[in-house]
Amino acid sequence: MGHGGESRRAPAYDGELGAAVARAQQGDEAAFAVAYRLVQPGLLVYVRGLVGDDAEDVMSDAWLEIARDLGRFKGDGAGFRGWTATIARHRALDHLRRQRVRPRPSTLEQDVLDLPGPQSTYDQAMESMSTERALALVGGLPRDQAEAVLLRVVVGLDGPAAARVLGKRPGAVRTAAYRGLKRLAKQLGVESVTDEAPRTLGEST
Amino acid sequence: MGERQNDGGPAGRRRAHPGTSAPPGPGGPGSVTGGRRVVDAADLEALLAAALIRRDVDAGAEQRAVAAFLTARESGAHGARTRRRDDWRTRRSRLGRHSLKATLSLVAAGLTLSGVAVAGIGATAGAPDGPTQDDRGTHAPSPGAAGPSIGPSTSPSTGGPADPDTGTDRPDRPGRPRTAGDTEAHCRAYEQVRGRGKALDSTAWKRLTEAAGGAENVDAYCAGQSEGTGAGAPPATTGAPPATTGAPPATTGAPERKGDDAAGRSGNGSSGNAGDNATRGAGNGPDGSAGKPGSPGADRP
Repeated sequence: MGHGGESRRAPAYDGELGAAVARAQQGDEAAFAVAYRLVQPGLLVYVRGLVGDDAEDVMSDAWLEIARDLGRFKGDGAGFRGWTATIARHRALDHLRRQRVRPRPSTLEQDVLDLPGPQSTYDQAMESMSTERALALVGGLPRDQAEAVLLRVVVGLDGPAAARVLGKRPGAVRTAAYRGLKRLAKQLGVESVTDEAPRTLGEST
Repeated sequence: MGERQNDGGPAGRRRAHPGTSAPPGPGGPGSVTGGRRVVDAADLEALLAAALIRRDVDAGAEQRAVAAFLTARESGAHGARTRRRDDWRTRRSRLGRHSLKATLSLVAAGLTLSGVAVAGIGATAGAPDGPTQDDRGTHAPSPGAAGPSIGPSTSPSTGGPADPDTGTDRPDRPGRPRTAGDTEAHCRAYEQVRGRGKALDSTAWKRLTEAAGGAENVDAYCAGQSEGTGAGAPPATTGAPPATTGAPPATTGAPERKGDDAAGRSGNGSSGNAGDNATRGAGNGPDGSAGKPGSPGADRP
């Protein structure tokens, strides 16, 4: 598990990613695998924020489309992030549309509620926030804020690219991300003070 | 599931915040409130990213993706056309391409328009000949009956003997007179346009100026042209044979011309005719040449 500060370093990957994509477009399958490994983790989190536990299946479909249409893509590493995020989002929305017929409660929040909430200080919360808790926090945001935050923090897109993925104006997306992050910070602060993380989470969602 | 993020680097950086904010509230609990206040967006984003992203990739899923890639490569799907939504190049580079395209198209449009402008100069130059057109109109029918085209119409009308020669001359004759006529037409237009606008900068004018040997000599050069002396020399070498055919049509105008021409080249007649040909041709079209043989002579005096 060598993770940490990925969003900070995401732009640094873009050069490597762009080169890998260019080679993959020439037919290099090893380079395609490199691009997959660079992009997939962030996209998976983003899609999980949209569809929950079905994220792996949705991303599997998305990669079929990405692999098929790779020759159409034009752009650099950052552009590839945006392009793949757009495809992943479309697959996720398709999935949600199909699912709407038989809606079921997301198990995500249930899991979080069952977890013990050991964070008694902000410091601890910062250090030991689990993936599930973080997802639950983001999932508790309004949909537009959650998507804007995930595209920015996890996929590593800048404002204009995130706006293009979402089909909105850059200003609106920037505002949504700002509000979402502000709300998350407030929740984390409240948690650390009240020491009643689960109940707070339940209220926020 | 349930893994905790506890890697060293980012955690150490984060720890720095409560540390720095510790002074206001000494002790553990105090750092909590201090830390909460210090939260900034960058730290929060780093925290979320660290908590959310798992770098371990499902190997099976990656294999399926690569297999799909290979399938697409074999089927040639990677040669597909780029749609708008597939173009993620930065706006700046796309703008650059557009501006290049726009520049090229502007240049092309400019060249086209300037060409039209130069052609327009020729057309206006032909206008002063208005009266001659009437003459030509009356003369035209006879050659026109032979044929509407320039070269053939003149030679058949003049006589059979020329036919063998005209076979070789024909390509020359329309060309040679036309250059002479251009010069004459330019001379006329030059007087009208002189001192106005930039028309004199165009290639045609420069050529005229060069031929005259300087802008101040243009008047003299043109004067010589209109009397048929200037143009006679160059065409004369090849002009001799056609002159035999060209002279007869000039019956009305020829006598005076030949008197003027010290060299006595029969080329005068043809060049004089051609002058009208070209000037009228600019305005009227190719068939205008058929009628001119007589007209130039009539006009000049």
